[in-house]
Amino acid sequence: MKKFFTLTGISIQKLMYYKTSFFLNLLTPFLTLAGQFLLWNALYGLQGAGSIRGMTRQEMFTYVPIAFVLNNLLSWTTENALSREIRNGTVVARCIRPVSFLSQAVAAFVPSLILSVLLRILLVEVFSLLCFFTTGHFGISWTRIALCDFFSGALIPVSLFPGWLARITYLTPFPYMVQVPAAVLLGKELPAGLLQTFFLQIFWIGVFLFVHWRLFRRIRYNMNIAGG
Amino acid sequence: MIRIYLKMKEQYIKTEMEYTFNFWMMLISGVVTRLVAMAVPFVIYKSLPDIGGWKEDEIYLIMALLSISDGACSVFFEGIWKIPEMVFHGELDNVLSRPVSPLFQILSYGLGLQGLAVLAFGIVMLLVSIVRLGRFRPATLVLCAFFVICGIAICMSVYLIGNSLAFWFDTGGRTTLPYAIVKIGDYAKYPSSIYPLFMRLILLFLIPFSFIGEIPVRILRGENALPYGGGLVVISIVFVVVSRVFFYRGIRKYESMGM
Repeated sequence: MKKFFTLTGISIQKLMYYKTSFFLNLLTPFLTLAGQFLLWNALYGLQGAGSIRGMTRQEMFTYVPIAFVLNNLLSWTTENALSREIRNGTVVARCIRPVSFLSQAVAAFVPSLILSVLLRILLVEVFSLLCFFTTGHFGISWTRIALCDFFSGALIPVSLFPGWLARITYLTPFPYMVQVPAAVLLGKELPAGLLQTFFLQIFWIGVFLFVHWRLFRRIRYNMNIAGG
Repeated sequence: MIRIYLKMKEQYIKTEMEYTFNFWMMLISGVVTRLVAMAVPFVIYKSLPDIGGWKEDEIYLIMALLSISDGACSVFFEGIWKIPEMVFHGELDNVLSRPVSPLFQILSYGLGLQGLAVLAFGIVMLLVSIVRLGRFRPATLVLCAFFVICGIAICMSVYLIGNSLAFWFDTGGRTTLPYAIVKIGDYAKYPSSIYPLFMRLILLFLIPFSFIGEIPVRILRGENALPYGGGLVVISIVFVVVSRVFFYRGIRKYESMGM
């Protein structure tokens, strides 16, 4: 546990070093949030007090910040940092520290282990490992962020999706990161029962743990460290 | 000049294609990002008849024009996004010591791969939405070419101003500042008439992304074509000039990193 907190401390210090960057990083997501508020405000305004697909203005205005918080618990810095380390070789430090590779990533950002957050970390981590194959991170992170933002319901609630799209969405792991926890919190109806939902979340976590384990083992065997 | 430019681009394509998987991943990410951006109005229009009197295809047209400008900037002027890093690592030394204009060198530096995909996607989207709006005529295409040129100029200038801010603010070589500016520009993918007045003014005159997408579509719809067209030209020229001044002012602030 002590190692865990030390690592968390190190990464926070690293982030705080450049103040402009640090504060802007905090601020930028709020620009997106403000944009969403302005958009929905206008849409409900044009509609006249009514509701959009059973979602009232109040519900939407509660959903948006909740989705925002869930979506931003983990910044994209992990991925950025890992692939940069892979490219210039400093990743070797992670491999020789006496803490497992995965828990170092967990320690870096989130102390709480809520299921959705755990799932998210795993997803990001698996995608980051793919950087070992591409040696560039933008393609992978942008694809992941785009898919994740949309299918998790962070941009627009999954409950507004047309039927077929919603069905497809619930077959992916994404809605379990934002839409499902937000719906549980707001007491909205879920596509399946609460217990089943939790089971599905745990199932997806299991899948990602397995994939991560396999991938990392493969990478370990034929790893290229540049310089270092 | 053109020859140097093409030569540099050729080299960058080669270096980028060195990592095959990454190359394809970048192209895919370009398309996926834009598809997802389009999916939001798609979902909204499934539940609502219109957004402030705008048809679904008109919104896609705005997005297509924004995509083309952004994609083209990324393909032709990707180097702009490298300014913060170059300033931070002192790599601008190399640029300044070569006998070609530094701005020209920065513009021709690097090549944004996802930009290729975004550009192609934008062009397809533009054609599809024009056809669906029933406006597929030579005149429209000529107008669109004009809009795109102005759009690229505006987009490039805003990116250049944003990234040149790295000369004044130490961001540890990261593009957080211009990224924040682009995030505000993102608002422009919906017609600005749905936003409060201050936001509209920002999108028109401070980060004039409205002039890339919305105003051209308004012109195509036949609203005040002349004043809007004039405004578009004026804004494009003003921003190109201002961004150039900004960049050269910034270079004066540049401190080398002992080589």
